[in-house]
Amino acid sequence: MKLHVKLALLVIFLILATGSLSAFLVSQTMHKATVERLEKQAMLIGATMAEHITHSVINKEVVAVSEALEFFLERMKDVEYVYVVDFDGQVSAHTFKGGLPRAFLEHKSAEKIATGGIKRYFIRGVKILDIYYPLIPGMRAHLHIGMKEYDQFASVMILRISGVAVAIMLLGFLIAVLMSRRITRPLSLLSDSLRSFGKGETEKEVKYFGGGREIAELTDSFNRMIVDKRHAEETVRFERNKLINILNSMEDGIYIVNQQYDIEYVNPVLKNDFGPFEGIKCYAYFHDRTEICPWCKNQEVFAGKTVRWEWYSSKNQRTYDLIDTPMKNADGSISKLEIFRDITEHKRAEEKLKKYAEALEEARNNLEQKVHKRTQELKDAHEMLVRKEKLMVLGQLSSSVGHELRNPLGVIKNACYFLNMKIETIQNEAVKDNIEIMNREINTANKIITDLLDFARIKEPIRQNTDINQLIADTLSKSLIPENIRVNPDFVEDIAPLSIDPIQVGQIFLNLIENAVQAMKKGGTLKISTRLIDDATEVIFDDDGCGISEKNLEKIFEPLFTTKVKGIGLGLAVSKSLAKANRASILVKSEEGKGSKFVVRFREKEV
Amino acid sequence: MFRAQHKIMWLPAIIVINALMFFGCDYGPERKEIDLKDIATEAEIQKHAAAENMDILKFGFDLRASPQEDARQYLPFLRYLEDATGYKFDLRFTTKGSNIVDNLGQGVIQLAAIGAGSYIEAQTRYEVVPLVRGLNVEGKTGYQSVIFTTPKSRIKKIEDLRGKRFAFGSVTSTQSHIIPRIMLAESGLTLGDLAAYEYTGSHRNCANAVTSGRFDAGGMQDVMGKNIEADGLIRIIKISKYYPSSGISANKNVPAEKLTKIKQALLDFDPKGRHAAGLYHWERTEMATGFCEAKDEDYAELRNWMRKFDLLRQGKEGAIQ
Repeated sequence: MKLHVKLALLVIFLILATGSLSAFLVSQTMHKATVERLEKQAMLIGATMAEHITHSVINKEVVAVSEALEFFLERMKDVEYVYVVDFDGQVSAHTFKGGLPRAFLEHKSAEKIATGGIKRYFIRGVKILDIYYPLIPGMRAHLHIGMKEYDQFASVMILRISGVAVAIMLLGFLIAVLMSRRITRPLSLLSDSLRSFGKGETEKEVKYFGGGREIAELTDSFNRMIVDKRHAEETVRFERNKLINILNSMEDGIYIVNQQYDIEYVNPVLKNDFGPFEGIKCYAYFHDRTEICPWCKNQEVFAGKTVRWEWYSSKNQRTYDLIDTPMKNADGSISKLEIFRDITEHKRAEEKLKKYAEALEEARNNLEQKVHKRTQELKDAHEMLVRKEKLMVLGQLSSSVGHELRNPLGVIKNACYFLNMKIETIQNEAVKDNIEIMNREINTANKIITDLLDFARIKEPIRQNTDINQLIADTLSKSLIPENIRVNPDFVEDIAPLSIDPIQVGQIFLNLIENAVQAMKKGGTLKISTRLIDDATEVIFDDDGCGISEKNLEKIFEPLFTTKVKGIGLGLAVSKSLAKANRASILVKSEEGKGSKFVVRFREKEV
Repeated sequence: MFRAQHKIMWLPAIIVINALMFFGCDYGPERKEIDLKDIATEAEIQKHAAAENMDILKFGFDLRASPQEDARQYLPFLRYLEDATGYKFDLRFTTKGSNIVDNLGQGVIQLAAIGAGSYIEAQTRYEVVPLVRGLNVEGKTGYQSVIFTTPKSRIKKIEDLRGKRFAFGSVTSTQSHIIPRIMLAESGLTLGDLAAYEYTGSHRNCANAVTSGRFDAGGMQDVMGKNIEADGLIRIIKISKYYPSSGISANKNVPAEKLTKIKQALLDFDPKGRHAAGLYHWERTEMATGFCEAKDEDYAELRNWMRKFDLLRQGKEGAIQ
């Protein structure tokens, strides 16, 4: 159906609907107003008539009442009938020709009527308002007036309104048809132009064919759209050329391949290296393969990832840094854009640089080792100097003080011996205990002095063949071992006698045993064993005491280093010196909290 | 295809609907069809009339103001009687050419509110049954009449009326005729001693006749007379003693049990109290505060005066109220 026909029908429908609805509402309103006016008039007439005839009805003057009714009927053209019900509830007078209709006999006159009212009837197809009005409110006597519901005035008015409404609707139809033609013609012409525009004809602009301001604005908008499109096409063309120029002038290679591995574009740089690409799959073009490359990145790229990788082309012996990027096409499909950057020279330079770096690293390492070695030597030399200085001072001090102290100690010890003999008869335990303490402390002091003197001046060992196992046993017998420490000897039999100074070596063993005992204050086991290893004989003192921290382990052989409350830090230093004098060495292995193991190693060839 | 048909059909359909809206709609109440040619027969009308009036007790009274005004006073009273007795009552006016004495005596009405004079006549002629007498505003069982003149008149006492013009109300009225005549007689005056006298038809006409100057003095009921005097229009020169007031009497054919029930309802009537609601100016009647029982002996004195005045033989002209 044509647009103008649709538009005309729509307007006609709207006119019909609104016109009919308006006419309906007007007619209903008029009808209601007319009926209300009639009802008011009728009630007024009823009241007047009732007032007029009340006395006659009271006095049963039937003739007078009938005359009044007839008089009334003659003058009121819209009145169909009048009848009166008297105080006995009987119709005493009426205007019906031929008699009282049976329908009005049952007028419920027995009810006493307080106010007037209206009933509605059809009489011979005419709508009748039956107005009843009491002669005296509250009594049975009343008056009925039957009036036609429509008066002539109202009928004429409704007819006129209907005529005007129909005329307006017909005029509306005509205007609708004409207006729809006027409005739709420019639209049709505009539609034709749009169709041409849709086919790509953007050269012609649309002319204004009339149709009002809106159509003119629409035409202008359309023409602006054509101009805009023309400009857009030119811009696209310009930008396209620009892009091609950029791609052609790039030093990097670029190519585009679709999901079927068909090459869509190769820029001149790559063409120079790999030749024409038309109709060739990418794996054949670049790799001379007949099937997809195992290292192909296309699937990753088509999945949306950007991949960067290196590729060495055996075709032209060049290395490329490749960047593969997904590229969305206008139709929604994805192609791969690959950028080739030739990094062959870069790689070669990089190789050279790598070699230089490796050489440099080696030189640096050598230098470091040398520096470290020299530094260590310097450190050792420095330590030695310090130690020598310390020892020299200590030696001088020890020899002078040791001799001076040993004599008074000898006197005190003799005095104690004397006292001890004297008090045997006294039986005083407290005195005995104190004398014992004095003896013990004298021994300790004597030991310190001995260590000092030994340290200050190591005597030349007096070597003699010594059974090492026996020497250990002798030393153990001289040692004070607390009861909570268990000594576990494990000696290898048939050890050849060692050429050592038994006193000095015994002193070493005694020091190590005392150290072990002092490390096991809460008790434990001291394992003393001997063994033969290659050309050496080893004596091992293995305790499960408190052990030595890693930090202290380096310093335990330094003179004056001690962790004990009463020690002066010369035991292990003296032992080391004595071992050295007897061509032995002392090795130590210790772990804090678990115990220490001291190994005194006597080398056979040195013996 | 269907779409095409649909397009073709919708326009005529709309036009038809609109036409129906425009011309054919009629929203109104249901109407009964009346056939004017279906005429009721005379027998049907009579039968209907009998049915309409069956078991209705008709209550009569004499017009005092207008039919509408009198009906407004009596209709609430009759509704009380209907509620109290269970009987149906209907008010009846006394038509021209008839009087309430004959209507009550002959059974046109079954009950009537009548004055003392009318009762005496009706009892004498038809043996009507006295039921109750009204209690006035002051609760008294009798009423009075006054003889009055204009405020500027030189007449000071009844005796001054000798040779003067005198206006009565209705000839059938107790208060505006019989009692004033008794007052004249007690002062030694007869109708012959007056220069002229006239029955003006009502208490109000009587007052108008005197205030207009047509008559020198008049006799009327006490309540209205006192009200008019309060307005300064007349001057009362004499007030009568109390005579039995208006009451309600019944036709002798009304069954005794009905009369008993009605009488009790009347005695129970309390217009100032519990039955006051709905009454319309009941205080203006001679039964303003209710009723007391009536007996025929109450009317003996008045009956004697009426005999003396020869009023009991005026049946053809009208009853005495």
